[in-house]
Amino acid sequence: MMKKVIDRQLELGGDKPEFYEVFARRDSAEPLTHIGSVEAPNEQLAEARAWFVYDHHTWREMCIVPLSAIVTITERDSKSKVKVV
Amino acid sequence: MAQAAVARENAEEATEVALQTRIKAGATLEDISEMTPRYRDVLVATMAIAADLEIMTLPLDFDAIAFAPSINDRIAIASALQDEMGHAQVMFRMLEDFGFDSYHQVFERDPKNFKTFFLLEFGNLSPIDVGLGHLVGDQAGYITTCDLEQNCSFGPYSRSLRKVNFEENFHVKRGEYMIRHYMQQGPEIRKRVQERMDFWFPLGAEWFGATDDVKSRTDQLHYKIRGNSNDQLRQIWLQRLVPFCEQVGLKVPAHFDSEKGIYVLDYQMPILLNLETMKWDFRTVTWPEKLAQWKKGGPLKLPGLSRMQTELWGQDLW
Repeated sequence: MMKKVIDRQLELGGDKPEFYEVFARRDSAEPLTHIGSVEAPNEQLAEARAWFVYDHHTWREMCIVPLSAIVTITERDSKSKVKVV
Repeated sequence: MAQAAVARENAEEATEVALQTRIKAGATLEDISEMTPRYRDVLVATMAIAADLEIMTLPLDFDAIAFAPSINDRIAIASALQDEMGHAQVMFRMLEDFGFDSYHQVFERDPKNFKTFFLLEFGNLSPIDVGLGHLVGDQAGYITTCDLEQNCSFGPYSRSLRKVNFEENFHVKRGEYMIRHYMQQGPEIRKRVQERMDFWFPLGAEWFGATDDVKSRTDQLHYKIRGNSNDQLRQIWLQRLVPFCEQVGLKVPAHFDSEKGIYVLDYQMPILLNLETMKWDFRTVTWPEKLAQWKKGGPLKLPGLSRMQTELWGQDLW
Protein backbone atom coordinates (compact mmCIF):
# COMPACT_ATOMS: atom_id res chain seq x y z
CA MET A 1 0.00 0.00 0.00
CA MET A 2 1.43 3.37 -1.02
CA LYS A 3 1.65 6.11 1.56
CA LYS A 4 -0.13 9.35 0.97
CA VAL A 5 2.02 12.44 0.49
CA ILE A 6 0.08 15.65 0.42
CA ASP A 7 1.72 18.74 -0.99
CA ARG A 8 0.04 21.53 0.90
CA GLN A 9 1.37 24.12 -1.54
CA LEU A 10 0.04 22.26 -4.57
CA GLU A 11 -3.30 21.23 -3.14
CA LEU A 12 -4.13 24.27 -1.09
CA GLY A 13 -1.88 26.96 -2.51
CA GLY A 14 -0.04 27.33 0.79
CA ASP A 15 -1.38 28.18 4.20
CA LYS A 16 -3.73 30.95 3.21
CA PRO A 17 -6.97 29.45 1.90
CA GLU A 18 -8.45 30.74 -1.35
CA PHE A 19 -12.18 30.43 -1.73
CA TYR A 20 -14.44 30.37 -4.76
CA GLU A 21 -18.19 30.87 -4.62
CA VAL A 22 -20.32 28.54 -6.74
CA PHE A 23 -23.39 29.73 -8.65
CA ALA A 24 -25.79 27.60 -10.68
CA ARG A 25 -29.27 27.31 -12.15
CA ARG A 26 -31.20 24.15 -12.96
CA ASP A 27 -33.20 25.48 -15.89
CA SER A 28 -33.84 28.60 -17.88
CA ALA A 29 -36.71 29.72 -15.63
CA GLU A 30 -34.68 29.53 -12.40
CA PRO A 31 -32.54 32.41 -11.15
CA LEU A 32 -28.79 31.90 -11.02
CA THR A 33 -28.33 30.97 -7.35
CA HIS A 34 -25.45 30.86 -4.92
CA ILE A 35 -25.26 27.13 -4.12
CA GLY A 36 -22.02 26.89 -2.18
CA SER A 37 -18.35 27.50 -1.84
CA VAL A 38 -15.10 25.61 -2.38
CA GLU A 39 -11.49 26.09 -1.38
CA ALA A 40 -8.83 25.74 -4.08
CA PRO A 41 -5.39 27.15 -4.99
CA ASN A 42 -6.39 27.93 -8.57
CA GLU A 43 -9.33 28.19 -10.95
CA GLN A 44 -8.82 24.74 -12.48
CA LEU A 45 -8.98 22.92 -9.14
CA ALA A 46 -11.83 25.16 -8.00
CA GLU A 47 -13.77 24.16 -11.13
CA ALA A 48 -13.13 20.45 -10.53
CA ARG A 49 -14.08 20.71 -6.87
CA ALA A 50 -17.26 22.69 -7.58
CA TRP A 51 -18.28 20.08 -10.13
CA PHE A 52 -17.46 17.21 -7.77
CA VAL A 53 -19.11 18.57 -4.64
CA TYR A 54 -22.21 20.18 -6.10
CA ASP A 55 -23.32 17.41 -8.45
CA HIS A 56 -26.80 16.90 -6.99
CA HIS A 57 -28.48 18.37 -10.10
CA THR A 58 -27.65 18.44 -13.77
CA TRP A 59 -27.14 22.17 -13.88
CA ARG A 60 -28.09 24.20 -16.94
CA GLU A 61 -25.56 26.81 -15.93
CA MET A 62 -22.75 26.81 -13.38
CA CYS A 63 -19.97 29.30 -12.67
CA ILE A 64 -17.49 30.18 -9.95
CA VAL A 65 -16.36 33.56 -8.63
CA PRO A 66 -13.26 34.13 -6.50
CA LEU A 67 -14.37 35.28 -3.06
CA SER A 68 -11.76 38.04 -3.27
CA ALA A 69 -13.65 39.56 -6.23
CA ILE A 70 -16.81 40.07 -4.22
CA VAL A 71 -17.56 43.53 -2.88
CA THR A 72 -19.70 43.36 0.24
CA ILE A 73 -22.52 45.82 0.83
CA THR A 74 -24.71 44.57 3.66
CA GLU A 75 -21.97 42.33 5.10
CA ARG A 76 -19.33 45.04 5.40
CA ASP A 77 -18.72 44.32 9.09
CA SER A 78 -19.15 40.59 8.82
CA LYS A 79 -16.31 38.10 9.17
CA SER A 80 -17.60 36.10 6.20
CA LYS A 81 -18.09 38.13 3.02
CA VAL A 82 -20.58 35.64 1.63
CA LYS A 83 -22.57 33.09 3.60
CA VAL A 84 -21.77 29.54 2.63
CA VAL A 85 -25.07 29.06 0.79
CA MET B 1 -11.49 46.54 38.54
CA ALA B 2 -14.22 44.45 40.20
CA GLN B 3 -16.84 46.96 39.11
CA ALA B 4 -15.68 46.75 35.51
CA ALA B 5 -15.91 42.96 35.66
CA VAL B 6 -19.47 43.13 37.04
CA ALA B 7 -20.45 45.65 34.34
CA ARG B 8 -19.01 43.39 31.67
CA GLU B 9 -20.84 40.40 33.09
CA ASN B 10 -24.13 42.34 33.10
CA ALA B 11 -23.62 43.42 29.50
CA GLU B 12 -22.90 39.82 28.48
CA GLU B 13 -25.98 38.63 30.34
CA ALA B 14 -28.12 41.25 28.57
CA THR B 15 -26.78 40.18 25.15
CA GLU B 16 -27.47 36.56 26.01
CA VAL B 17 -31.06 37.28 27.03
CA ALA B 18 -31.61 39.40 23.91
CA LEU B 19 -30.34 36.61 21.67
CA GLN B 20 -32.46 33.97 23.37
CA THR B 21 -35.55 36.17 23.02
CA ARG B 22 -34.87 36.72 19.32
CA ILE B 23 -34.42 33.00 18.71
CA LYS B 24 -37.54 32.14 20.67
CA ALA B 25 -39.46 34.57 18.44
CA GLY B 26 -38.28 32.60 15.42
CA ALA B 27 -35.38 34.77 14.27
CA THR B 28 -32.67 33.28 12.09
CA LEU B 29 -29.03 34.19 12.63
CA GLU B 30 -26.98 34.84 9.53
CA ASP B 31 -23.66 35.94 10.91
CA ILE B 32 -21.12 35.13 13.61
CA SER B 33 -21.30 38.73 14.88
CA GLU B 34 -24.89 38.08 15.99
CA MET B 35 -23.86 35.19 18.27
CA THR B 36 -23.01 35.07 21.93
CA PRO B 37 -19.96 32.95 22.82
CA ARG B 38 -22.22 30.27 24.30
CA TYR B 39 -24.39 30.06 21.19
CA ARG B 40 -21.33 29.94 19.02
CA ASP B 41 -19.78 27.11 21.03
CA VAL B 42 -22.93 24.99 20.82
CA LEU B 43 -23.31 25.60 17.08
CA VAL B 44 -19.67 24.93 16.27
CA ALA B 45 -19.68 21.71 18.34
CA THR B 46 -22.78 20.54 16.46
CA MET B 47 -21.30 21.32 13.04
CA ALA B 48 -17.90 19.84 13.91
CA ILE B 49 -19.44 16.51 14.97
CA ALA B 50 -21.57 16.45 11.80
CA ALA B 51 -18.44 17.04 9.70
CA ASP B 52 -16.52 14.25 11.48
CA LEU B 53 -19.41 11.83 10.96
CA GLU B 54 -19.31 12.51 7.22
CA ILE B 55 -15.57 11.81 7.12
CA MET B 56 -15.95 8.56 9.07
CA THR B 57 -18.14 7.07 6.31
CA LEU B 58 -15.06 6.85 4.08
CA PRO B 59 -13.09 4.29 6.13
CA LEU B 60 -16.38 2.63 7.08
CA ASP B 61 -17.32 1.81 3.50
CA PHE B 62 -13.85 1.18 2.11
CA ASP B 63 -14.29 -2.59 2.40
CA ALA B 64 -17.77 -2.29 0.95
CA ILE B 65 -16.28 -1.09 -2.32
CA ALA B 66 -13.84 -4.01 -2.35
CA PHE B 67 -16.47 -6.74 -1.82
CA ALA B 68 -19.36 -5.14 -3.74
CA PRO B 69 -21.20 -8.01 -5.46
CA SER B 70 -21.62 -6.21 -8.78
CA ILE B 71 -20.30 -3.25 -10.70
CA ASN B 72 -23.61 -1.47 -10.06
CA ASP B 73 -23.17 -1.92 -6.32
CA ARG B 74 -19.64 -0.61 -6.59
CA ILE B 75 -20.80 2.46 -8.45
CA ALA B 76 -23.61 3.02 -5.96
CA ILE B 77 -21.23 2.89 -2.98
CA ALA B 78 -18.65 5.10 -4.67
CA SER B 79 -21.43 7.54 -5.50
CA ALA B 80 -22.75 7.54 -1.92
CA LEU B 81 -19.21 8.16 -0.64
CA GLN B 82 -18.76 11.00 -3.11
CA ASP B 83 -21.95 12.50 -1.64
CA GLU B 84 -20.64 12.08 1.91
CA MET B 85 -17.30 13.71 1.06
CA GLY B 86 -19.24 16.55 -0.59
CA HIS B 87 -21.19 16.98 2.65
CA ALA B 88 -17.94 16.98 4.63
CA GLN B 89 -16.59 19.64 2.28
CA VAL B 90 -19.67 21.82 2.80
CA MET B 91 -19.44 21.49 6.57
CA PHE B 92 -15.71 22.07 6.85
CA ARG B 93 -16.05 25.05 4.49
CA MET B 94 -18.57 26.50 6.93
CA LEU B 95 -16.27 25.79 9.87
CA GLU B 96 -13.49 27.72 8.09
CA ASP B 97 -15.52 30.88 8.73
CA PHE B 98 -15.35 30.01 12.43
CA GLY B 99 -11.56 29.81 12.34
CA PHE B 100 -11.09 26.10 11.60
CA ASP B 101 -8.30 24.86 9.30
CA SER B 102 -10.05 22.12 7.31
CA TYR B 103 -6.85 20.54 6.06
CA HIS B 104 -5.56 20.21 9.59
CA GLN B 105 -8.91 18.93 10.85
CA VAL B 106 -9.10 16.17 8.26
CA PHE B 107 -5.51 15.14 7.59
CA GLU B 108 -3.40 16.16 10.58
CA ARG B 109 -5.66 15.88 13.61
CA ASP B 110 -5.13 12.89 15.88
CA PRO B 111 -7.82 10.31 15.01
CA LYS B 112 -8.54 10.05 18.74
CA ASN B 113 -9.89 13.61 18.62
CA PHE B 114 -12.46 12.93 15.89
CA LYS B 115 -15.96 12.87 17.30
CA THR B 116 -17.66 10.00 15.53
CA PHE B 117 -20.57 7.82 16.62
CA PHE B 118 -20.43 4.17 17.73
CA LEU B 119 -22.60 3.13 14.77
CA LEU B 120 -19.86 4.13 12.33
CA GLU B 121 -17.04 2.43 14.17
CA PHE B 122 -17.50 -1.20 13.04
CA GLY B 123 -16.39 -2.57 9.71
CA ASN B 124 -18.84 -4.12 7.27
CA LEU B 125 -18.66 -7.91 7.11
CA SER B 126 -20.56 -8.34 3.85
CA PRO B 127 -22.82 -6.48 1.40
CA ILE B 128 -25.69 -7.20 3.80
CA ASP B 129 -24.02 -4.85 6.28
CA VAL B 130 -23.77 -2.16 3.62
CA GLY B 131 -27.53 -2.37 3.06
CA LEU B 132 -28.20 -2.30 6.80
CA GLY B 133 -25.79 0.59 7.20
CA HIS B 134 -27.89 2.60 4.75
CA LEU B 135 -31.21 1.39 6.16
CA VAL B 136 -30.39 1.83 9.86
CA GLY B 137 -27.52 4.33 9.93
CA ASP B 138 -28.20 6.67 7.03
CA GLN B 139 -31.84 6.71 8.13
CA ALA B 140 -30.76 7.88 11.61
CA GLY B 141 -28.40 10.47 10.12
CA TYR B 142 -31.05 11.64 7.67
CA ILE B 143 -33.58 12.17 10.49
CA THR B 144 -30.98 14.19 12.41
CA THR B 145 -30.03 16.40 9.46
CA CYS B 146 -33.67 16.91 8.37
CA ASP B 147 -34.39 18.21 11.86
CA LEU B 148 -31.43 20.60 11.57
CA GLU B 149 -32.52 21.78 8.13
CA GLN B 150 -36.03 22.47 9.36
CA ASN B 151 -35.21 24.02 12.70
CA CYS B 152 -31.66 25.34 12.92
CA SER B 153 -31.56 28.99 13.95
CA PHE B 154 -28.27 29.51 12.06
CA GLY B 155 -29.51 30.15 8.51
CA PRO B 156 -26.39 29.11 6.56
CA TYR B 157 -26.26 25.71 8.28
CA SER B 158 -29.93 25.06 7.67
CA ARG B 159 -29.62 26.02 4.00
CA SER B 160 -26.48 23.96 3.46
CA LEU B 161 -28.40 20.86 4.55
CA ARG B 162 -30.85 21.06 1.62
CA LYS B 163 -28.26 19.47 -0.63
CA VAL B 164 -27.19 17.04 2.10
CA ASN B 165 -30.73 15.80 2.73
CA PHE B 166 -31.55 15.65 -0.95
CA GLU B 167 -28.72 13.14 -1.31
CA GLU B 168 -29.13 11.27 2.01
CA ASN B 169 -32.63 10.32 0.96
CA PHE B 170 -31.14 8.25 -1.87
CA HIS B 171 -28.86 6.42 0.53
CA VAL B 172 -31.79 5.40 2.73
CA LYS B 173 -33.80 4.31 -0.32
CA ARG B 174 -30.86 2.24 -1.49
CA GLY B 175 -30.72 0.53 1.92
CA GLU B 176 -34.40 -0.35 1.68
CA TYR B 177 -33.90 -1.60 -1.85
CA MET B 178 -30.92 -3.78 -0.89
CA ILE B 179 -32.56 -5.31 2.19
CA ARG B 180 -35.80 -6.02 0.27
CA HIS B 181 -33.64 -7.75 -2.31
CA TYR B 182 -31.68 -9.85 0.20
CA MET B 183 -34.87 -10.82 2.05
CA GLN B 184 -36.11 -12.42 -1.17
CA GLN B 185 -33.03 -14.64 -1.55
CA GLY B 186 -34.23 -17.65 0.47
CA PRO B 187 -34.07 -18.72 4.15
CA GLU B 188 -30.28 -18.90 4.46
CA ILE B 189 -29.74 -15.29 3.34
CA ARG B 190 -32.76 -14.10 5.34
CA LYS B 191 -31.19 -15.66 8.43
CA ARG B 192 -27.95 -13.81 7.78
CA VAL B 193 -29.77 -10.51 7.34
CA GLN B 194 -31.62 -11.14 10.62
CA GLU B 195 -28.36 -11.89 12.48
CA ARG B 196 -26.80 -8.68 11.24
CA MET B 197 -29.94 -6.67 11.97
CA ASP B 198 -29.72 -7.93 15.56
CA PHE B 199 -26.32 -6.20 15.66
CA TRP B 200 -27.30 -2.99 13.84
CA PHE B 201 -30.65 -2.17 15.42
CA PRO B 202 -29.47 -1.14 18.92
CA LEU B 203 -26.65 0.86 17.29
CA GLY B 204 -29.25 2.85 15.37
CA ALA B 205 -31.45 3.34 18.43
CA GLU B 206 -28.56 4.81 20.42
CA TRP B 207 -27.44 7.09 17.55
CA PHE B 208 -29.77 9.73 18.99
CA GLY B 209 -28.00 9.74 22.35
CA ALA B 210 -29.22 9.56 25.92
CA THR B 211 -32.93 9.39 26.68
CA ASP B 212 -34.80 12.60 27.52
CA ASP B 213 -35.23 11.72 31.19
CA VAL B 214 -31.44 11.99 31.45
CA LYS B 215 -30.85 14.78 28.97
CA SER B 216 -33.84 16.84 27.92
CA ARG B 217 -32.97 20.56 27.97
CA THR B 218 -29.76 20.73 26.07
CA ASP B 219 -28.32 23.98 24.78
CA GLN B 220 -28.92 22.69 21.25
CA LEU B 221 -32.66 22.82 21.90
CA HIS B 222 -32.40 25.95 24.00
CA TYR B 223 -30.81 27.85 21.10
CA LYS B 224 -32.92 26.10 18.48
CA ILE B 225 -29.83 24.67 16.85
CA ARG B 226 -32.14 21.69 16.44
CA GLY B 227 -35.87 21.34 17.04
CA ASN B 228 -36.54 17.84 18.35
CA SER B 229 -35.23 16.11 21.46
CA ASN B 230 -33.27 12.83 21.39
CA ASP B 231 -36.36 10.76 22.15
CA GLN B 232 -38.48 12.59 19.58
CA LEU B 233 -35.89 11.93 16.87
CA ARG B 234 -35.59 8.30 17.97
CA GLN B 235 -39.36 8.00 17.70
CA ILE B 236 -39.31 9.21 14.07
CA TRP B 237 -36.61 6.64 13.34
CA LEU B 238 -38.67 3.84 14.93
CA GLN B 239 -41.77 4.97 13.01
CA ARG B 240 -39.91 4.53 9.74
CA LEU B 241 -37.78 1.50 10.47
CA VAL B 242 -40.04 -0.82 12.48
CA PRO B 243 -42.92 -1.01 9.92
CA PHE B 244 -40.39 -1.57 7.13
CA CYS B 245 -38.80 -4.45 9.06
CA GLU B 246 -42.20 -5.97 9.81
CA GLN B 247 -43.08 -5.74 6.14
CA VAL B 248 -39.97 -7.57 4.93
CA GLY B 249 -40.05 -10.10 7.78
CA LEU B 250 -37.21 -8.89 9.99
CA LYS B 251 -37.60 -9.07 13.76
CA VAL B 252 -36.47 -6.04 15.75
CA PRO B 253 -36.64 -5.42 19.51
CA ALA B 254 -39.31 -2.70 19.25
CA HIS B 255 -43.08 -2.56 18.76
CA PHE B 256 -46.01 -0.17 18.48
CA ASP B 257 -47.60 0.46 21.86
CA SER B 258 -51.25 1.06 21.03
CA GLU B 259 -52.00 2.46 24.50
CA LYS B 260 -49.27 5.07 24.30
CA GLY B 261 -49.71 5.58 20.56
CA ILE B 262 -45.95 5.43 19.97
CA TYR B 263 -43.26 2.92 19.09
CA VAL B 264 -41.31 1.61 22.07
CA LEU B 265 -38.14 -0.43 22.45
CA ASP B 266 -38.52 -3.91 23.96
CA TYR B 267 -35.56 -3.16 26.19
CA GLN B 268 -34.57 -0.30 28.45
CA MET B 269 -31.70 1.89 27.23
CA PRO B 270 -28.78 2.03 27.78
CA ILE B 271 -27.38 -1.42 26.97
CA LEU B 272 -23.83 -2.55 26.22
CA LEU B 273 -22.37 -4.30 23.22
CA ASN B 274 -20.00 -7.13 24.09
CA LEU B 275 -17.03 -6.28 21.92
CA GLU B 276 -15.64 -9.81 22.09
CA THR B 277 -18.74 -11.64 20.90
CA MET B 278 -20.15 -8.58 19.06
CA LYS B 279 -23.51 -9.40 20.64
CA TRP B 280 -25.71 -7.04 22.60
CA ASP B 281 -26.38 -7.67 26.25
CA PHE B 282 -29.95 -6.44 26.76
CA ARG B 283 -29.59 -5.90 30.50
CA THR B 284 -29.92 -2.20 31.26
CA VAL B 285 -26.76 -0.53 32.51
CA THR B 286 -26.06 3.02 33.74
CA TRP B 287 -25.45 5.96 31.40
CA PRO B 288 -21.88 6.47 32.67
CA GLU B 289 -21.15 2.85 31.65
CA LYS B 290 -22.64 3.48 28.21
CA LEU B 291 -20.75 6.76 27.80
CA ALA B 292 -17.53 4.94 28.67
CA GLN B 293 -18.20 2.41 25.90
CA TRP B 294 -18.94 5.16 23.37
CA LYS B 295 -15.82 7.01 24.43
CA LYS B 296 -13.67 3.93 23.99
CA GLY B 297 -15.17 3.52 20.53
CA GLY B 298 -15.45 0.66 18.08
CA PRO B 299 -12.58 -1.26 16.45
CA LEU B 300 -12.67 0.64 13.14
CA LYS B 301 -12.37 4.20 14.46
CA LEU B 302 -8.65 4.71 14.99
CA PRO B 303 -7.24 2.37 12.30
CA GLY B 304 -9.86 3.57 9.79
CA LEU B 305 -9.16 7.25 10.31
CA SER B 306 -5.40 6.88 10.35
CA ARG B 307 -5.63 4.83 7.15
CA MET B 308 -7.69 7.63 5.59
CA GLN B 309 -4.99 10.11 6.63
CA THR B 310 -1.93 8.17 5.50
CA GLU B 311 -2.64 5.66 2.75
CA LEU B 312 -2.97 6.21 -0.93
CA TRP B 313 -5.82 3.99 -2.07
CA GLY B 314 -5.88 4.76 -5.80
CA GLN B 315 -4.87 1.53 -7.57
CA ASP B 316 -5.72 -0.79 -4.69
CA LEU B 317 -9.25 0.54 -4.62
CA TRP B 318 -10.17 -0.33 -8.21
